[in-house]
Amino acid sequence: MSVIFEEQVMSCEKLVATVAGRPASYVRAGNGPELLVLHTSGGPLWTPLLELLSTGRQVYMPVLPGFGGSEMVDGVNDVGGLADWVAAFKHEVIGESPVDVFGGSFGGQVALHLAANHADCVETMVLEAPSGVVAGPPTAGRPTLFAYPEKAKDLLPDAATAKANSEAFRAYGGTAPSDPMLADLLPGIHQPTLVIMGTLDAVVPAQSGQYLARHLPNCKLTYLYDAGHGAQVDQPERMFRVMRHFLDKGPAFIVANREYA
Amino acid sequence: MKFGFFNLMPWPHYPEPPKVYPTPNRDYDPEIGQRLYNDYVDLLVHAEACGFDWVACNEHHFSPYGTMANCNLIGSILARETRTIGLAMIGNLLPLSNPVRVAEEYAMIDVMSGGRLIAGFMRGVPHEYIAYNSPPAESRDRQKEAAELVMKCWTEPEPFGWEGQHYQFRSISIWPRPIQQPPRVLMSASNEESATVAAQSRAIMAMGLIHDLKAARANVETYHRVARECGWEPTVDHVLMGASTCICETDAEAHDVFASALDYFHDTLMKPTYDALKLVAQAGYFTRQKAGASYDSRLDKVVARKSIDEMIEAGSIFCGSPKSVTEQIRRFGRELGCGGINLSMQIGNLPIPMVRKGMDLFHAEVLPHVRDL
Repeated sequence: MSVIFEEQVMSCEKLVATVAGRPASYVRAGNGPELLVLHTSGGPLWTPLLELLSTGRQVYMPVLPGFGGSEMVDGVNDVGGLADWVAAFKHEVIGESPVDVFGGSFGGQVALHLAANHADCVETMVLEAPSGVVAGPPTAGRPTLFAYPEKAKDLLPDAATAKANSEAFRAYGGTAPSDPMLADLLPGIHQPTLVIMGTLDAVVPAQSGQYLARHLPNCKLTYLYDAGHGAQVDQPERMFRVMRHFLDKGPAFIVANREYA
Repeated sequence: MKFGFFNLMPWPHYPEPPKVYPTPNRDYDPEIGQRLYNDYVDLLVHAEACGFDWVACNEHHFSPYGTMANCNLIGSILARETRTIGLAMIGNLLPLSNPVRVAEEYAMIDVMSGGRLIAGFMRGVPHEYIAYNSPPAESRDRQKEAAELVMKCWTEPEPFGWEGQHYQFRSISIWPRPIQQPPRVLMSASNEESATVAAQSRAIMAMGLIHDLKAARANVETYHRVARECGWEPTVDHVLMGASTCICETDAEAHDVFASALDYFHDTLMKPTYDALKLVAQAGYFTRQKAGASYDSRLDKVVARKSIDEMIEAGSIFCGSPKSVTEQIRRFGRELGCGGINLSMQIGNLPIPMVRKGMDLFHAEVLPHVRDL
């Protein structure tokens, strides 16, 4: 059913579960194999990409504590702690079997911790410009967040929620140039992973994708042409095309298939 | 000033002007063609001994005026047959090719030649779009995307995929990768829009078919302005101009043989191409109204019945004795502020020995006077 969520009408439900003894909001939509979505530091935005994904997947997007107007949770203080919380959410709401995970930017960083520390939770990962991998200055003269900001204007939260999102992001250490834990964790992450980088990304340096392609044991890197950091907002159809192929076929997605063209 | 020797590799034996596009190939004699390729390659190799800084090849399809369907085939020969001269492929038609294949073949030429490639990223003239059955309206978007993809193929250290508007590849890792990181790129800058793209791409700007020095100068200024806006400052080596060239012992001889060769080029070899342009316009592309400074408009101006002197004055050609050509090059360089000139010397049905003689005259009597410009 369609519900009102953050003043938008969407084909998704906003539900509440109990995680570690506290209420936890999440968004659910669609039917099919489960897909756990870890949102960006911009909060739980129901983007056109998620709408497309929900046509073939049962999408679960927990509202990470501190984001989207929610409260921080005691004891969840860093990205690793957030990944532990996500694992608890996943066991509580989705079940014990491993699921596919999609993380955008900060959510991608959380997903890497989840895959490293809770390998039994993750089947396959898609990471959109994950943060925390490699420190690097923004590229001058390029769009800062979106190549097509007009596509984002109806998605963004109100000023107070945006401010709280930024504070939560900072509280988890998301603003650090790079995540000191990741370098040691990456070689132990064996799940098939697709990293998607926008060719116009000016937030996460291109070297991040290259670093992951080199250091994750089972990683594919794809550039999304004409997309900024918010690739799923800039080019949702293209991103859906390659994501669907990878989620369905895993590493064999490199074999051409007209069904995914 | 640096100089290139450009050979279109035309078919010089056409019995009479063909009337339609595409030119029927029944008049192509492959036995003669074999000897021609051999002689043309010899000329390109000879350019190194004549002091040219690069040799240039290009790509045309279904065309008796230029018989290189893939200039990389010639480029690979030159990589072996020459030692120091630059190899300018000007170039592969990016919107009509598989960009990954372009990246691979260019990388092979760069490696085989020890890093001497100048990589042309060309969009192609309208009739090429008929030849390869690609809608002309997509050409600019395809060009932009393909250029970015080729550059990624050359510079990415890890295998990567590409999900674009026109191109999708799941996992790319070209072998070999080029020596130059990345190779020098050259792009057409024949109008304001393409000059802008060349500057944004930090590519060498190249202009041929000049019909008016002031209009060409305006493109150079656009290129410099956009480059500055993008945060970089081009050198004179980033500005490359082209001109058809004929050098003989005397002005009278040069004027006479070049007039005849240009007549053959425009009236015979190019006729089907002009017809193709009309068809492209008839199909709704490149209309007179939209043409502005675009290809067909400029081409009309270049080929409009002008005398040799008028073409020299317009900056379209260099023609005459070594002394006259020296003066023409000086004026041309002064007006345009270019650091390189591509001399297209194998025009129409100019006899090969005459072209070779012109190259030798350039080396002995022109180059010493224009090298330090």
